[in-house]
Amino acid sequence: MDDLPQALLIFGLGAVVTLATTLMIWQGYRHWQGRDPFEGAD
Amino acid sequence: MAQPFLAPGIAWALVVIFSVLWIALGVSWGRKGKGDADDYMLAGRNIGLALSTATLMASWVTGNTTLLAPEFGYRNGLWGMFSYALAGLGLILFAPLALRIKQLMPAGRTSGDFFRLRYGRAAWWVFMVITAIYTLGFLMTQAMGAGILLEALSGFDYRLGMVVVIGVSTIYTLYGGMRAVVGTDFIQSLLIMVLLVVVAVLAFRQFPAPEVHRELVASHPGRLNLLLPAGLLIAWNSALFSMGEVFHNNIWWSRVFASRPSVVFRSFVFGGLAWMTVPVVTGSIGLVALAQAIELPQVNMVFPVVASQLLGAGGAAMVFVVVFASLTSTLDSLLASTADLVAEDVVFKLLNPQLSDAELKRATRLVVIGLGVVTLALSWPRLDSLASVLFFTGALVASTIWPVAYGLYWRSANRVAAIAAMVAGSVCGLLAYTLIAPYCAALISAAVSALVMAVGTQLWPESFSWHILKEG
Repeated sequence: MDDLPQALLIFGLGAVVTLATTLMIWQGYRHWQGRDPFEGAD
Repeated sequence: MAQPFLAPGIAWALVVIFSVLWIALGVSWGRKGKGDADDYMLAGRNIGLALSTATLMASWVTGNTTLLAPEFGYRNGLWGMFSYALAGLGLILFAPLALRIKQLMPAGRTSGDFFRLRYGRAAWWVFMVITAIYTLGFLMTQAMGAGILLEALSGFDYRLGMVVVIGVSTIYTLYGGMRAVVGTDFIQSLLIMVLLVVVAVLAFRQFPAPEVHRELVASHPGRLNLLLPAGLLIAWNSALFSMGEVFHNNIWWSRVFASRPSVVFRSFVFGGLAWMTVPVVTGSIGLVALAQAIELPQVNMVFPVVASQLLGAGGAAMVFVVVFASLTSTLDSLLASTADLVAEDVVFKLLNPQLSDAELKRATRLVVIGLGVVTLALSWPRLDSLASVLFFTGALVASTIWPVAYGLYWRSANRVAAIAAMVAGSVCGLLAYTLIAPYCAALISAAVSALVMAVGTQLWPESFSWHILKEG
């Protein structure tokens, strides 16, 4: 697992998962900003 | 054994001074407040911004942050340093979730409350297995780290150093509860920050950054290369591992419940940003060692070696205090929040719901003592490969990231998908740990868990009532 293509693959997958998680949290945060936290609809 | 960095007499004096200080302050702070179980477990739910930020930062600065980050910098150069610092993302990304938790669960006490109420008892059991393995691994690595580090720094016997650090942390946590933990964390975080800045400033005054850069370009250009394969491989591991640790563990949830609603978001952001400076500073010390070709008996001793070579006995004493403060501030948080989780979720909610408030507080105290004893017993035989234990738990905790965040924001989050996400993520993460490499475990676990959670919820959406969480 030392050569550059494999390292870039792992790096890319890590970046995608981290970015997806960040976006999901950001989307949820924006959705609930200023709303009643117990509101029924998503 | 290699020559210790600090004379035993000075080391003993420092241990006695700081042990007495922590215990005296912890016991004294523990006497404040109403004295009920909620006060003992969550410090009256009224912690302000400064204390909240400091306790988050101090709990997240472990023995690893002060000793493993310089090793990462030394071995992997800039990427090593930056990838370690990315572990601060766990705290920063938890800030919006913390705000939501505070709104949805104003009377909540533990992260177990969330799993039980949001996804049901079966998901709670999966969570408990994951958090039990992680917590025991974390307690063991901190306890063993204490023994190994104090032995290397001061010549203390491994078991003596371990008993001192666990004993001191257990005593003030036992008497003072969360109030003692938060108060001592505040002082410990100040000590860590100030002493690290002093060591770094003095080191860079002797070897200015341009000189370090010039030497690295000449002798180790690979360490400055952002396409260094070894660096790319570890780049995101710390970020995803830290998210898994923070999102599920009761250390961080208990801080949310203990803080005022108005400060909870900012304290996690500030705590994460403040923490990120620590591996950057200690990691840069690793680069100084590399540039100056300083001889190292063990690579994980970069920080004490550089400090004592550049700054003499004073530098070694500063490192000793930083390490002692880092270890006690992490262990006290682990003991307090794990005792809260076991007493509240297992003893009270599962075994004996008729427990009175005084009995719950007594049960929490007994669990603190029990955890201290179990940690000592498990750490008695010495293991030298602590990093592998930590990476192993990464496979488990990273599987909780999406179930936690999804379940806090989306009413449609499916409970079976949450269980499947944690199980499938953990299994695939452990396979990656064994078949590919330990640093891939958290990444594969998080990726599989995210996929299962998102697809399961899309296919079988539920309609959860947020009011159920209010009962917690």
